[in-house]
Amino acid sequence: MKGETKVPDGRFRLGVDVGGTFTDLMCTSPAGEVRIGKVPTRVEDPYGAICEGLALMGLTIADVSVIAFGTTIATNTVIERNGANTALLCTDGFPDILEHQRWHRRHLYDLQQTRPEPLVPRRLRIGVTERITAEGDVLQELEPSEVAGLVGRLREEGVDSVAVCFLNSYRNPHNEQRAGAALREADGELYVSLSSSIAPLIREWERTSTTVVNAYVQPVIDRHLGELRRSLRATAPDMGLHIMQSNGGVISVEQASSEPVKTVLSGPAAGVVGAVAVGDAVGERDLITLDMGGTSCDVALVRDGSPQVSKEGEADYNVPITVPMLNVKTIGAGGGSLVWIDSGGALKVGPGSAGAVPGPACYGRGGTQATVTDAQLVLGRLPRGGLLDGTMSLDPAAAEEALRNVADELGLSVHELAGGVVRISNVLMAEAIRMLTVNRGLDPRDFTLLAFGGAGPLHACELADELQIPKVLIPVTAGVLSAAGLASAGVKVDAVNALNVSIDEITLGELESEFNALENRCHELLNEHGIPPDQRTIERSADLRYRPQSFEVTVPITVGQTGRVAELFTTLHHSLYSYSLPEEVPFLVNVEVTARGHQQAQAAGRLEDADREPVPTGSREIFVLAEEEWVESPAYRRDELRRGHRIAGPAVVDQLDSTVIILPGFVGDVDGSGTIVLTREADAA
Amino acid sequence: MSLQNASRVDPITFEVVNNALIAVCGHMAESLRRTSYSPIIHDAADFSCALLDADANLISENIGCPIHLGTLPLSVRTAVEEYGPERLRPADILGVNDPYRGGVHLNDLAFIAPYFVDGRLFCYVANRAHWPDIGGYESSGLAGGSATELMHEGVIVPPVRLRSEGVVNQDVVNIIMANVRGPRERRGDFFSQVASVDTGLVRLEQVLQRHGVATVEASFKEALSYAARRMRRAIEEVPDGKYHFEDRMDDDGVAEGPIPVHVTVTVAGDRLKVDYTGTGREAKGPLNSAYGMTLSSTYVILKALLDPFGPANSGWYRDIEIVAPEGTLVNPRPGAPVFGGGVEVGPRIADVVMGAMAQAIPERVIGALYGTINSSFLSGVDPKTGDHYIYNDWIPGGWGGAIDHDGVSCMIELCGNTDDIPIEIVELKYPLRYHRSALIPDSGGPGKFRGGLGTERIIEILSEGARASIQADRTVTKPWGQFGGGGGANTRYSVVRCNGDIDVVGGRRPDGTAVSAKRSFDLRKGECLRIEAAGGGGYGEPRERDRARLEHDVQNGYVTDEGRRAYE
Repeated sequence: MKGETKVPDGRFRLGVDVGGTFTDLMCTSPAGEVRIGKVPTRVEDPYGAICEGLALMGLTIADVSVIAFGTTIATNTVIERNGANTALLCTDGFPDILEHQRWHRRHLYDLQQTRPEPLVPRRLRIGVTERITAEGDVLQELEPSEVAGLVGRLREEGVDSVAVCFLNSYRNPHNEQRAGAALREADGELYVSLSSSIAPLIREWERTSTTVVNAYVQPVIDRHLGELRRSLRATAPDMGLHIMQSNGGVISVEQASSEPVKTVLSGPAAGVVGAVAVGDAVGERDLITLDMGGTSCDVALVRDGSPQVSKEGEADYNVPITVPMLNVKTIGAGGGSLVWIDSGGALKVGPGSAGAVPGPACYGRGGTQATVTDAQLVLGRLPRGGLLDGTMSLDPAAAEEALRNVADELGLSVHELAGGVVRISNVLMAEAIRMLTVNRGLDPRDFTLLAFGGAGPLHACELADELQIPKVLIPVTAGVLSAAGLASAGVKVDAVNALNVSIDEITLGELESEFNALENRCHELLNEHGIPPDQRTIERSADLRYRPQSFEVTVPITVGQTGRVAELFTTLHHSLYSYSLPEEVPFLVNVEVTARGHQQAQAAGRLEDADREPVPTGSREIFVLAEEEWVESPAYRRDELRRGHRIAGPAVVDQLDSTVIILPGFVGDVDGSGTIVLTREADAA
Repeated sequence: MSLQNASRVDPITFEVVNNALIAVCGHMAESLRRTSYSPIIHDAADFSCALLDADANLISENIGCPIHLGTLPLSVRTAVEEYGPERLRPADILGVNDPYRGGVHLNDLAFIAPYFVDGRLFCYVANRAHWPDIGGYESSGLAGGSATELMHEGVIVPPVRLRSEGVVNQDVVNIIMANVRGPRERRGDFFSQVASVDTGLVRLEQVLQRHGVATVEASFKEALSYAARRMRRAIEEVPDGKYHFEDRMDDDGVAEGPIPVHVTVTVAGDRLKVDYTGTGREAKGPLNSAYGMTLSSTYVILKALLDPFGPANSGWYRDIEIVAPEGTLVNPRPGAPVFGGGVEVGPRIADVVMGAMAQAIPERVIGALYGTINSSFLSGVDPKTGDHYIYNDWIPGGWGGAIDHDGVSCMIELCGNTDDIPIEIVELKYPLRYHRSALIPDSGGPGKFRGGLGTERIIEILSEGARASIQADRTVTKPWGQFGGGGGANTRYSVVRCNGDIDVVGGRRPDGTAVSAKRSFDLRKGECLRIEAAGGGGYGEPRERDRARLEHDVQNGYVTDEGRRAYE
């Protein structure tokens, strides 16, 4: 194979997105060449899956210089509860922090509700004598012999990973560090996770949970990545191997293995990074990204080319993790979301899903309940010939029948119901987007919608109408954008320190030295990646609030602005919440530094210029909700579109892994990067 | 079935608009939580946000505190009637906290904003949040053991305009602030509630622009009848009959107890009547459940038993009849003190209704919950700042065992849905230090499925001159089990003196005598308040418990070797 497809100028970067079912791969060359592949996931043999995928793309491992690897293994380990046998060392008297959780109930009125079992059973949550005060003073120093004395018991219980989280350790890591040293000395085989190094932030439950997740997934991830590393060392010893983190940047295998909790939400993050790259190529830097797949829909916000970062995430219900992650909001609205009527006769869509099996009724795999995909098929929006270039046939009769069961009960026609199902799922997505924008003082109309995932491009125009968004982007790699994000992601590391002082209690000099210390730590990490000093971006930010409040506002601090942090906070608070209290002295909770290695620029523009008008390969009637009528629409093939092509709605564009609906009133312009840029005819140039 | 006839809005539009209206309340809650000053609001989330139609019917709510929601419609209706709807203007905000005008207790201040369409009063957005202090002669509004009048509990805010056409009514605000402790923090909460209301107004406006006034109005109506339909259907599934149950409150903190709470639930077809005749007289101490509160507490447990996942709006309780004789604990005369009405009598109302319904729907009930909110408030002066501080906390206990699973440990009572305040936040903000926070072994009532465990907390006072106000129940009666299940452990409050002596200050002493857990007392620097929250009742015979589950409990310290004997 290799002989036939020489790689002309330079080797490829390979993005590998390991999902639960499929592993997506995408290669980019410095010249801008892109190749895409999809193979079944092999949990025990990631290297084998990569080689198989490369072969599909006509490449071998020797054609690749760098692999960026994203994996849902950490997430799945938590959700499926099949991680390491983990113990937790805690402050004596506080063994049940993991079990207390927050008291808040998921269902307000449900008497029958239960809570998830903690990742560490109660007998392995062991109190040790130690205490740090809220001010960070050592009230009771930890005695290493007490910790060393526990190791025998841990061995008997078959524990191979230990989390250590003491009260107030975010202020002073002294006792945790002593405990960690004692554990390692007593048993060098144990994995040890200290909360003061994983997530040194206030709030004991969240910090304990984060540390425990790290400990719980660490042996699994270490094994998985170690396997990959070993295989690569044998065949491609100089291969760069990067691991995607939840914050949208990549780190080394070693860093990922020591802090795997930072990779837990890497899948959705990779999609957002891919979206940013697509936006950059088109020149759009304020994006709302929408990734709609089979079971759920992820939405995220990108401002001025930077995805929003948050430290309030969950690995699973009631398993919080407080490490920096891209702020991706997930809702239960996907193509497989079920259509149903509740006991009061109201029409509902989701959050239950038909999943991959049995899937929507029209998949013909035994599903009988109607889904959003069935509704889309009945509305003529999906290709009659089936999905995945016709290799997966669709059964319109089954879709109609499933919908009719519901429609009859509501006294609607099948088409009225199908239209309604699509409208309802659009509203669910629109509300999630409003939560990210309107609620933060932002106007969705100032953003561009970037829709991807198998189902995103089907809903994009309607959603843009719902939110009055002027422009929509549909990337050419809509179905594998996470892999594309991996291929384009740069190294990104962060360091945080909890200060918890009034802003008038810290001098500018002290603040500068806090930031400098964090910057030095980041530089060390970038040094490990061999990133030259002139190829780095350093960003400072600070989390502040009015002292009595409990939720911080993250204030980005540009060069030379460190002294103005209080003022920046006041302005930001006002724009977020429409009020500020200038006479109050803001409280500085955390200082944080994020450092990136510059990514070698990818050549943009790989599509050839169009030399003639695009030619439809056929046409089909699609139902337009706004007009409530069927419209004959030409159908195009995505891979036949060229740069400069313009398609006016109504039209459909079919591609291997998705279908783009261009509604009447919209026009789509094909950009050099292959992206379809949709605008309203009235606004189009 | 023909749903179209029920209303002019089609089912699709209804679902679309209804989702948008629920989201309005979610937006309000997010704003309130992120900007408020008091941990009881931002960490504990003791607040609710709602949208009500022009007749003050609750249309949608956030996932807030259940007891707030049944009362908000009453507060809005009373406040608007009393103030005069014709005097309301756009961008006004009415404030009210009077429990006898639909409120919970004085600490829960409701902010109500009318929304106008073309000069017509179209609907209201409202929120209600618990202020850590509202005046009165004990910090925090809880004058356990001494309050015998509503006035002892704090400043009463009748319906007044807090904001007139967009301008904050500073005179009123000044009066309120002059009568509460910690006015600086209260002021932050005040503006946070205003910001939340404004968020609601803005989002509502967008919904109206998108869907049109007529459609939204029709959706309001459909939301109410939809909920009523669901509830009637749920009641139909309950076997007809008359079901009685009686339980009791320990005492009211002022007079001797116990006080009986009696209920008769009558089910006939799709109608349901709850009658509290037989309940004890109005309490002398702050334990009265004002009528609105009694309605709300009853709605909460009925909804939990009959239709927990249905919409929460005024429609679902439209057809439920409630009888609460005047002058009793569940319908006191205006002026009687009420702090514990919703949070102590409320749980007991839930207990008796569930106890009665157990006879009709055994598979849907659980063992008694821990049955009290365990208000545990500490106040004093922070030596670091010289400022007055108030730390409000509730100590959660166990829920009852169910037909197929054990009760949840450490979860707040059904009437509330507050979160804990993290220990590290408490220690950072107040001169307090925790020594213990842990589950109590053997505190869950034994059963085929045991009750959830209670929790123990020990908190050290780090400054001189601190004061504790506590109000708790289930110190002498146990949260009972169902169908042979045993009761959960009792509630108990103690003080660990500096010399190590332990004095029981609420609940049973080692000699078997009991002392009221509704009182206020001083604490010295170095002393610790110890709280043991009750466990939940078990479900089914303990000897039927699966042996592997029992072993698991013993291995993990949920049940001790001694506690195991209850299962033999």
